[in-house]
Amino acid sequence: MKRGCTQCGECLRVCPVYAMFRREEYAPKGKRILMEPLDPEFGNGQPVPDELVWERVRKLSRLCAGCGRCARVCARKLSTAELLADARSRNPHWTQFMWQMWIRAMGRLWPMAGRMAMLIPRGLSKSGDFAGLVNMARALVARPAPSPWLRLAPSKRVSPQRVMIFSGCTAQYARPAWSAKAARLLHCWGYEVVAGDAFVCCGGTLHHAGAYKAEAGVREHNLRVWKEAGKPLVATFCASCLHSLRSYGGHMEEEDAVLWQERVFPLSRLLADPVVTRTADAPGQVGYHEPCHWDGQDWDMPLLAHGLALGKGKGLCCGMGGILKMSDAGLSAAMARACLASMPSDAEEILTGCSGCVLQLAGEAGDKRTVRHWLDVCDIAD
Amino acid sequence: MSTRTSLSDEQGRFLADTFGDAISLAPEVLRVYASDASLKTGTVLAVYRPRNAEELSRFMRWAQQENVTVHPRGRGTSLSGGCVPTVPGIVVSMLGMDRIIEISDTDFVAVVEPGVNTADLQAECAKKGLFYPPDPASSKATSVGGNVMTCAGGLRAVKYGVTRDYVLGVEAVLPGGDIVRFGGRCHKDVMGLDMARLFVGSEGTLGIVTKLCLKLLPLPELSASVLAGYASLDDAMQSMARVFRAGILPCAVEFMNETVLEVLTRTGEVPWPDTVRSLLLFQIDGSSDSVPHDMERLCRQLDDALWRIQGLGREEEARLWAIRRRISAGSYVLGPDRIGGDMAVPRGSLLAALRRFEEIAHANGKRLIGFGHAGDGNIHANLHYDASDPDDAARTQRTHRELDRAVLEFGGSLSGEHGAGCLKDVSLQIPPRERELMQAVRRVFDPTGILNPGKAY
Ligand SMILES: Cc1cc2nc3c(=O)[nH]c(=O)nc-3n(C[C@H](O)[C@H](O)[C@H](O)COP(=O)(O)OP(=O)(O)OC[C@H]3O[C@@H](n4cnc5c(N)ncnc54)[C@H](O)[C@@H]3O)c2cc1C
Ligand code: SF4
Ligand code: SF4
Repeated sequence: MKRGCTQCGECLRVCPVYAMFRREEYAPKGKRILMEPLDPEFGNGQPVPDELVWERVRKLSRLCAGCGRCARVCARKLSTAELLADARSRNPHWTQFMWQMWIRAMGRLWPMAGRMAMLIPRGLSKSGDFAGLVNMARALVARPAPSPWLRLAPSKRVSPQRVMIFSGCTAQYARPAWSAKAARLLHCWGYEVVAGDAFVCCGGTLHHAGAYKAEAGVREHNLRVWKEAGKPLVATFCASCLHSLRSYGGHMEEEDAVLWQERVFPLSRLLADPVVTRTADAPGQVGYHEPCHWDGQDWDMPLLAHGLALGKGKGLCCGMGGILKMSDAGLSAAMARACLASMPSDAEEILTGCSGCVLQLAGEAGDKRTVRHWLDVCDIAD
Repeated sequence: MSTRTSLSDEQGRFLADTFGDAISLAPEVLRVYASDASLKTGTVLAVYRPRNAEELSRFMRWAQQENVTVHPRGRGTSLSGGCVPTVPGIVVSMLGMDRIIEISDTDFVAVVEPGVNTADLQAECAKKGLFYPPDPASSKATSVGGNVMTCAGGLRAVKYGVTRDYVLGVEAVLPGGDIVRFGGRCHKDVMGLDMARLFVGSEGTLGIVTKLCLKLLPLPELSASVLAGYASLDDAMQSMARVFRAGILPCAVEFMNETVLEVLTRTGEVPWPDTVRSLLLFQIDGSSDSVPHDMERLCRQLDDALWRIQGLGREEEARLWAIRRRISAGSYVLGPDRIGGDMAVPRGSLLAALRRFEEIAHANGKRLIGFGHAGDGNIHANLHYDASDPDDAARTQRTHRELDRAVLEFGGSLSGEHGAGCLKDVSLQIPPRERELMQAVRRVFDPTGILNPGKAY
């Protein structure tokens, strides 16, 4: 039997869902009190009263953005997002099936979904779940990138190493320019860029949905692609993909797992010893959203801070993680608005390094602010 | 005291109609409020989250009329069952009332609602160069209202005292609905009985606190810490006594017994040599001029330590305090379940009391994790065990009870921090006549006994 929540309450302060409601039932602690008795490992085998079976507690438990903040502060390192994923995997629901479809089968249709969403007048989608979904769909349509704010070059080129770019679903289907930019940067640094087109979804959101079989499928596929390419370095420019790719290690043979963990990198970390030149087009103050899935170690911000004045504000979660967009799009969008409201007020331009965060925040940013991936504003020095 | 086990339909309707969204009756929500960090559970009939004192007043009038029991709750981190419904009742959660109304750098006061998180208040004060010193180890998790109701204290109590020393004024709603205000924002006020501080540590038995006026200090500019290693706890305690005799008042002095060092060594890398079996961790604070000087004075008194490292300023100190913070998680190597004690003894009896506790543990085949706040005689006496082993569980419970009795032999208190809640046997410590008087005071505020029955005293 695993030892569960001690109800120490440390996680209330960091949970973005709790922050929205200030009620204990929305906190990781509250969710654990409800979900642990239903879990074969945490439960003590005692029968659960009818009024606390999964169908009853599901509504509250699923309000989780999968940000992982609770596990990081918990003395027992208990992950409520994992507990929820486990509960979902034991109790499949049609929304999980829909989510799988959206992620796995419909990627190619995302840009079209975005263009269709553009046609829905804003007034028709002011609040609630529908608006949350429509706004994110709108954000799938890329805005033209501005002329670069930063020009990057290596202070010295690296010794040639092969790197595959792991683009992730968003870049693959809706933002191919990010992958192209990443390839040019790596090339400029002296890496040999190997095509990464054969990679599919990282599996992160499938995991949160409790779709473990589908997750295993994409994981195995991606690992096969990596092995067939000769186990090169893997670079990703999405913090959530990185988080998910790093979890692969737990499912691999030890020797390969060690190699995999050593070879998966955030793109910004591979751009070692950069020479960063700020251009005249760079705005004075830039908002920076740190993706929760950096798990406390953000490699993008130090790179960007070489040339930009970045303000993080309160550093709230954007509400995109997990499958909250599916389970409660209205709450997810409200979290994005709270996150944006806590950014420095003079920052009209916001950068981040996670594909999901870009779509989520861009969807709720309104007309006065622009949210972009940092790749949109960087280019290689001539 | 009410013996009802459910609300009537009419009562449920009244609550929902009158307080709307502030009331929950759904079983899954009620379950979340049925327990606290003691992990004991009770029966919750409804949860009510007041939005202001006037609304709460209306609720308390109704509760008294209907003879419905009320259990106030902050963030539910009580380790003594302070929030657990001893009889079925309505939990009043104060977390929605969490505004910092004012932080004044001229009056040196903060006016807050009780639900504000302690660490958040401290951070907001620090932004203005002000300092709210009470620092329970749980401060990131607690509400200030909960701290006031338990008179929470922490590491810095040796120099800065406990929550009581910072409460200037209290607004509370009483059973029956009266809204009363005691004290105010004057740092000195001797008019009438000191009722504001009577509320401090009353564990929610007199009224529900809705506003607090708290005393603030200037924020110390700098702090420094030193971790010193000794061959035994005996040597460590002698060293500490010398520090105090030399007229040095650290803001924290933490001790760790031999079992703690064994745990730390077993669960991670340690920087000290094998000869070190016990540790003292000192912290001093003050101005950037005074701290280096005081540090030198302190270190001169610690020349009998076998080993020592020090850190100036938060960043350097973090490395030292990280070791102290490892104790809690590391102790689980001695067993996956834990019972904690938070007894206090007069400072001079700390060593003798701890050795006695270790003997008791040993006689029951247990090890005692002994650490805590040496500067104020507050001992964290933790016992680890495996709840799935009935014999181990029984021996641990027995040890825990025997420790409670032993602490009184030293003129100590069963609880220096967590309060009696519903789990401590108050009669062991407080004689019948004194308890009777306490009960009589309680009845003045709560004549029908609807508020937190079976708690505290
Ligand atoms: C890991 C851990 C470490 C801890 N370390 C310390 C420590 O170092 N020092 C220490 O002192 N304590 C410590 N505690 C105990 C606990 O955190 C404190 O007792 C804290 O003050 C409780 O605050 P809370 O907001 O959680 O209050 P709660 O637990 O919610 O309530 C505590 C009591 O106050 C009453 N109450 C709460 N709010 C109100 C209100 N507004 N009006 C009337 N009554 C109210 C409740 O009925 C209850 O009796 C620790 C607990 C944990 C889990
Ligand atoms: S993962 Fe994030 S949103 Fe989910 S319970 Fe934990 S802190 Fe809250
Ligand atoms: S931090 Fe961990 S143990 Fe503490 S209340 Fe949250 S989930 Fe439970």
